[in-house]
Amino acid sequence: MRPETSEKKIDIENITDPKNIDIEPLKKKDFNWKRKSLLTTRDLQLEEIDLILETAKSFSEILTRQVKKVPTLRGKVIINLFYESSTRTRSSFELAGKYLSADVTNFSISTSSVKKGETLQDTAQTLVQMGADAVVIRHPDAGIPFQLANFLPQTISLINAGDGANEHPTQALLDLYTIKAVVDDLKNKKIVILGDILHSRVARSNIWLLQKLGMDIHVCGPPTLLPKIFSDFGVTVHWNINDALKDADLVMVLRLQIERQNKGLIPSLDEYHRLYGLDHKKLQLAKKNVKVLHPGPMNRGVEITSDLADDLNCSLINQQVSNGVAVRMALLYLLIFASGKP
Amino acid sequence: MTNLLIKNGRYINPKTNTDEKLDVLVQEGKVVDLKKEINLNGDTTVIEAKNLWVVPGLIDIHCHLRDPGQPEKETIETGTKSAASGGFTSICPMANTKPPIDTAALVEYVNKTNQKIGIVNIFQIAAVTKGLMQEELTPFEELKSAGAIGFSDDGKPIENLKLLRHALEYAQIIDANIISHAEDSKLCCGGAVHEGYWSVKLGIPGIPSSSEATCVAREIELVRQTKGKLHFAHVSTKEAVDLIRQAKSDRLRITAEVAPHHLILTDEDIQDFDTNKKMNPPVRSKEDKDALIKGVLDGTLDTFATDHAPHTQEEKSRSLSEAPFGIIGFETALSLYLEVFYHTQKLSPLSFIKMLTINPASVLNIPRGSISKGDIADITIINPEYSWKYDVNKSLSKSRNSPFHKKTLKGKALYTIVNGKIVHKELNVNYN
Repeated sequence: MRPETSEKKIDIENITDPKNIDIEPLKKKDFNWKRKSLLTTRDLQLEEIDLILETAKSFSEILTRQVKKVPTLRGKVIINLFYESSTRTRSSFELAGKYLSADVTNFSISTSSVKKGETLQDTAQTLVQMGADAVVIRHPDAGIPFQLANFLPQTISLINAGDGANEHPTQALLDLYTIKAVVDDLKNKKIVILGDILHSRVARSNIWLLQKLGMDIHVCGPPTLLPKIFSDFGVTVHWNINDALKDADLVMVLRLQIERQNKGLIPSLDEYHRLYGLDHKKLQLAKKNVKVLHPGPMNRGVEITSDLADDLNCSLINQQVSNGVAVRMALLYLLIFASGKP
Repeated sequence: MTNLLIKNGRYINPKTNTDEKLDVLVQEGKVVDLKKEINLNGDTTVIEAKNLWVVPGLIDIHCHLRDPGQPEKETIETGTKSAASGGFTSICPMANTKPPIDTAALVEYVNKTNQKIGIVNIFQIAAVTKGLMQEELTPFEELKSAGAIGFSDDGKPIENLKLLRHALEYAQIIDANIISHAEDSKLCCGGAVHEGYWSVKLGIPGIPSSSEATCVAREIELVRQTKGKLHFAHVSTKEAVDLIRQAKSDRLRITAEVAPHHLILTDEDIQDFDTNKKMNPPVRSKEDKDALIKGVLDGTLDTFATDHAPHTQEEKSRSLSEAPFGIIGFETALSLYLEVFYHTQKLSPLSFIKMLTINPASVLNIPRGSISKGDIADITIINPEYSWKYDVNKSLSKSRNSPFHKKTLKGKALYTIVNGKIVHKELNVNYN
């Protein structure tokens, strides 16, 4: 049995001077937050997950205010280091930092210039010299945040905002936050992750995270985008969407990269839509109160129908966006102020 | 020239099936005497080799010296120094330099440069196709006359099977080997590590085993048809080992080599995203690793190689997808092979040394690999028990791309002797 934690709330109003910030109210008696960086959901402890979600809940209130700003991270520097174009995730981190009064700056580096340009070590040095307190990194290739971490001092918080097909841990945490708002007990609840699982960092981070909470995870897609080997990770693999959706509590639809067709992985978008596109009809196989998530941006008419995406009775897509900002505020706050000492 | 007397060592010469305590006398660059006890006075350098193995100079039939064209990675000078410190007296650099070694003039450039600044023998491998462009064959006979020992477009497979067929046919004029880098360039395309549990778990683009196995299978059929001679470089998969075993039992003229990293590392080791574990072919599963060891033990794999492949730190600091393939290997290969085969009692010293001397020599017809009376005095003196820690920053290679940095290794070449001349002597060892 884990201790009851729902009463804990951060006293945002009283945080006016960054020097006086105290994360004690958020700490459990037997749990001390030490994590400085978030690169993967694989190594998250249940206590950490709880604290992230509780903190996000506290911060979400700020988003409803007229003046959306608290001084929590005043004087802190956050650098968004994006080697891959991104509007949603980058803006979400940028707003999260700004709502907390951090100074946020964006480094956008095209990977083609990296080939001839500076090394990761040099980039790390630049970040250190600029006085970064947190670095949010996105890269088109798996592993770069882990490689960069080797070159950064432990005092700088490093947050993986997506590395190739490997992980996107903040997306998984915001998905979990969104799911928890509508589903009471996640244990043994059936979630179907639908689409291009093989190339999806969202799928991977969610699988590792939601497994920790005891969810019954099913993945579904065509064999070219979902090799059977995924069953080695403790999830149920389906190539047939009807089998997958049966009695599902939640469906997470993934974006289909349109270029998969050119690479010969799927014959056509039409066929993909017919076999794996989610619509109201296919969703009837799921539980009556099934909820649908999508990390965005959506290809309407490909992986999900417009009707379904806009159906507020079951779509959680809007909540995901606003929750994303709150979860990232929580993470920036927790990671930057962590002692980092084990 | 001073004489060299190696005393009290364990003389191991696989060619004559000898493994006994013998003194070795070297004069004028040749082995002139082998006796239970040789005593000489005067102008003789004596090496006390008690408890050490005195073996034919080690031969590496697969490496990359990056010369000409990429001195930031390696040169003939640094590459041969590194090889000597690993115990190698003869090495066979691949042709994929810049420009590729596809003319007699370039083979001569390598050999002349080596005479000037190199310290071990180089037996150059020339390109199969001009400019490695896979359109026209290089002049095999002319290249061989200039000193080339074999032919390979290593780095990439010859996709045009008709061209490969002709290469296998034409090379028979000079009884030369075509050395195959066996992979299917479409199947492996974009991959960085072995496709399997770990690549899928970590979202890293994978290189499937079938990329190697399909290529090995089709090339075996070309050998069957042409009766040519083919050597498979760096075999990495169980499937390829099985295919080669069958081809050998069909009496085809096929040989194969293994590289040390494929016997030590597995795909599980890529979890830390260390680009120094990225090589082509990739380190594969434990089952593959075990199949390679079995392949060595049953003779399917003929020889050990290093596949020494230097790259700059700048290049290796890119992502796993973008970093180039390859690791350096001259200085660690002997110790790693000892770890897998000798210290586990899988191979006797004689069978072990065979894989680094007479076997590679006979695969490519290299006039070395034995230290009988009258042979050229290329000798390596090994302490098989010597424990040391590899520090890549002290490597004599120009590059630092090794996954074995800080690894504790057992066994080392203490002396490397080329043409009767000591070109490497291990420091910091108590010689007593």
